[in-house]
Amino acid sequence: MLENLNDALSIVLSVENFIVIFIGVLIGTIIGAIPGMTTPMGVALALPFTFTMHPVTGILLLLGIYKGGLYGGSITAILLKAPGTPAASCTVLDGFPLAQQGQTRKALEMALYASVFADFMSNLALILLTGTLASFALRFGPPEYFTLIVFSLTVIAGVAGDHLAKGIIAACLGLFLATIGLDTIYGTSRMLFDNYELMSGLNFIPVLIGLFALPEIFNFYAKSKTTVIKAGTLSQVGVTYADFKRCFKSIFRGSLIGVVLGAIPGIGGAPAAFLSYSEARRNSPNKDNFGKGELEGVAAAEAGNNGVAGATMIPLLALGVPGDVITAVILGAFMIHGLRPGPIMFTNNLDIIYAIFIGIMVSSAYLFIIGKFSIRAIAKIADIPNRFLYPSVVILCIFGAYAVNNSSFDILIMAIMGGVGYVMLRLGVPAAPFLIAFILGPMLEDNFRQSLILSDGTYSIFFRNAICWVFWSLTFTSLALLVRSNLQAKSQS
Amino acid sequence: MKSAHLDILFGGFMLALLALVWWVIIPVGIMVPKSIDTAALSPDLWPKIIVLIASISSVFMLLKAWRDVRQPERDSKPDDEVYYPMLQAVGRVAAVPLGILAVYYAMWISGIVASCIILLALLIRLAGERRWWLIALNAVVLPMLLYGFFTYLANVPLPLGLFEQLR
Repeated sequence: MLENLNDALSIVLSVENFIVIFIGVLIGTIIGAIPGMTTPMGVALALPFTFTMHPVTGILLLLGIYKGGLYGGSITAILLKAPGTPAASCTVLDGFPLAQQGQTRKALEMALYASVFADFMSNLALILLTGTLASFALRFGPPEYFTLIVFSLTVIAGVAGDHLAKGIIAACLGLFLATIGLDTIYGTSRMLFDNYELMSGLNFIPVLIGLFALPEIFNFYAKSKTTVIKAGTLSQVGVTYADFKRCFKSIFRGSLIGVVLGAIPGIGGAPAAFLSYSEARRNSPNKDNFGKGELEGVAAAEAGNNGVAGATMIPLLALGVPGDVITAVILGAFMIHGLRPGPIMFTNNLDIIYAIFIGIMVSSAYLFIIGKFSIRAIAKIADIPNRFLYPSVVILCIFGAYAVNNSSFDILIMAIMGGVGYVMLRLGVPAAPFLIAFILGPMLEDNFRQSLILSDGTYSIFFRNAICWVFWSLTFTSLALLVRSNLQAKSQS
Repeated sequence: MKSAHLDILFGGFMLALLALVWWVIIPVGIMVPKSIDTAALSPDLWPKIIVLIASISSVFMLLKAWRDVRQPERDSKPDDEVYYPMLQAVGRVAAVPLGILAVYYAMWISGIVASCIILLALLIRLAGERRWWLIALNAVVLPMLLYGFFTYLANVPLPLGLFEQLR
């Protein structure tokens, strides 16, 4: 262990890594602060830039963007009532009223402190729990992985949008696109239609950029105007020790909620933020003030939101299964660098795992520094007119898509996926299940077919032991709960 | 148009598409070796399973939408954003992917940098900026910066087309 730790320190302790992590957190905070720019978009655009980096450096850059984005969304949520990320929409409830009451700085600082604390707790959970889960995952064979991925996709498809059926359709489209290429067992062609460029399948980066970056830009061009509300200027009075002490219980509770929900595939920051907020309101002596400018509300929302960041890496590193879109992209980054997250990585590349753990702690420190000293500057950046910002993102997308394989074909794929993504956006079909299914599709099919090879074609292998039964039970339970909640929502309306 | 109507259209479209995939695209597009012993290992089995699951979900979506279309639509929160009239919005939205396609075709002739400069200028103009000097400045700076980054820092060779001799 000490040798691996030593190797990890030698990997991560370099000036380049410290600079890259700082840049990642800064970029993420800026992207999160700009309404209309999403963190998945930022991570997608940054991914091509990581190809020439060391795997740890590239992954820490993407993680920095992720963490910065989770916090950055709160800045415009408080200042402009325009959450930069979906998860920050809970922060608006009390953050914007506080800003209107002249307590802008207090709201922004509480959002920062809650975010950093929750982020730190999330990192601790990642470091302490991942190894244990990975050692348990060594018992997994192809049937167990198949049932695990089916469970993950079901949950993601169900919670990603309003409509379970649409989520499943999106996931199926992603799975189908992932079959394009050469068959992994027989080497025969699948849906190539004499196009040699499809032999290795669709590259996931143009698909990712097309699905997540372009639809928002298309939507921007469809709108003739948007309404922007501005709060007052930054006040001088910040958070006091008494304020922090009063809100600490909510911050701690929210952090735990974020960690638990973040570790479950498909949940993400927004549900964690709202659950943390509702629990804080339920337990607060000032519950009547929630929604009117209660500092504890901002603290709880941000703690829940940021508590997911490190925790979403737990299923990725331990099992090789991403918990959300960002970790799906990070899985792609691992694969580009020839690494395969999961229990085997804990055996073969423990130094890289430890290096990521160390780097992730550094990113939390940077989050505090950037948040503390750059709120004013970041608020100004959020004022960049969208008529310059969105066209610039299109150009970034083109360069990024080309740089993947030096292939103009990827630009074509990106444009087509942008169109598909826009149609999905307008029809309310969630894109996250599509992308995660696209990334997991090959693994799902491989485990499916390997299981059938082991069992000589008998499907009973998928029910061979308790682990498989547990995942099938979880799958059907989550489906039943999703259907029930849909029916309940319907009858209440 | 009510969202339930949109769901019916989408569900119908999906069923038609999935039928096309099942009856045409899979049989034509997937080569199945004649020597397969186990049908479960056939290259076309997994795509067919996906199509079946998607079809079942599409049917459920259609049934739900059919039921919802008879009920009054819930009052939805008014959107703060205003969209262009339909035809104008379609034209504006289509301009972006068409512009990207133009870059795809033109980049081997004029180079990726020059193509992107032109595209960026047009997109900024379409977005509403009127000052041509500001458009030109923004349109040139970003592609040049990206060219510098990818060529000299990331060692990714970019096609320059007619401007190749300037390298």
